[in-house]
Amino acid sequence: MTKTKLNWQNEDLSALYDGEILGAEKLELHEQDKKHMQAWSLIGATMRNELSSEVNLSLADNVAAAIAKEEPQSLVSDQSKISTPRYKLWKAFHKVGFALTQTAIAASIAMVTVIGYQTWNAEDNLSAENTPVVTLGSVNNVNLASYQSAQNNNVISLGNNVGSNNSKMVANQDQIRNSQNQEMKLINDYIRLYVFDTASK
Amino acid sequence: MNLPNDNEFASNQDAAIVRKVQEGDREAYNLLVLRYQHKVVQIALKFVNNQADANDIAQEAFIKAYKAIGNFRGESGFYTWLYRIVVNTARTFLESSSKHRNNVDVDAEDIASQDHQGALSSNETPDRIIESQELQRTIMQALTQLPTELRQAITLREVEGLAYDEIAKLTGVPVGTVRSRIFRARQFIEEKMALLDK
Repeated sequence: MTKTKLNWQNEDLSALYDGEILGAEKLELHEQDKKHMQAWSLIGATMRNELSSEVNLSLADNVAAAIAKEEPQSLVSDQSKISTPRYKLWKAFHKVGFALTQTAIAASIAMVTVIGYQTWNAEDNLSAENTPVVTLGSVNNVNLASYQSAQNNNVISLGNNVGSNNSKMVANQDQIRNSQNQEMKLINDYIRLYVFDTASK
Repeated sequence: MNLPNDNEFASNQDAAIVRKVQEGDREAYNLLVLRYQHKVVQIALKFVNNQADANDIAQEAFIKAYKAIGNFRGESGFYTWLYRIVVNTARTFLESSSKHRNNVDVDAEDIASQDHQGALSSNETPDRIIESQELQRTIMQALTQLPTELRQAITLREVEGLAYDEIAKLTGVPVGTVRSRIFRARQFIEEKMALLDK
């Protein structure tokens, strides 16, 4: 709707006041036009016996001013209406983020619990009652317990069976060294195999 | 209290103005305010016995009506619709002012200084208030001085609420003549009114 300031001829203004001529263009009235209309309003009210003892001639102006004040506020409230979904979207993201964080924390706790349980269980398996001797038996025909048992055929003497004779000791020096190396090799092999065997279970 | 009768008023003309307001023409609403302001104040005066309160109720009712005019579907006349708004505004005013009276427990000086009109805020500029008695006398006197055809035309328009074409049919003259007669009648009375200010 275009806004044009018309120079109303008084006869047309009178017809406009009666709602007889209303164009498509937006109405804009001069102060003088409004004064005429105010007077015509008083004439009509007097003729219809509507006039009260006191008349507020500012009423129409006050209404117009209040409406003009209201309109920018309406615009502000419209903007707040537009911003509301954005706020809701942000809240939704916040909620999803919070849920994901909670899930991650729960998953971490569960993982720590499982690992902890497995570790505890593994330590349990390594306890005195479940020694590798009992549970695993011998590894590569070598039993770790046999290190402490002299009755076993596969006794690893760890050099304790070296004779007391010095000459023999010197003579057997290389043999003892070889024997010790062999023992260390057997122990290392046992440990390696034990670890591999445990891990594969 | 007399309920409004849409036949008494220029409903068709109102509908055209309302349509313009609904299309976003704020100034057009001024025409409706000017047309019904005195009647609205009279309705308000049935609820309150104070002219200032009645003016405030009227002002608030017009503002409410403007805000709600987008919902006005024309199922009743504009005045009937406006009348309901005025009555509701007056009732709300009475409720809030009675609550105010019950709640306020201060000395008389404080009460006098407070704006007891609550939501109906006062205006920034002082209102131009006139005593209408002399004005009414002047207008009625001017009416009697009018030529018959002018008095007849303006009476059919202002009192009977007839449209120009209806007046034209009734009086047997072209619509243009009706328009001219009504304007000339107004112009004559307005000149007499202007003499009051001098």
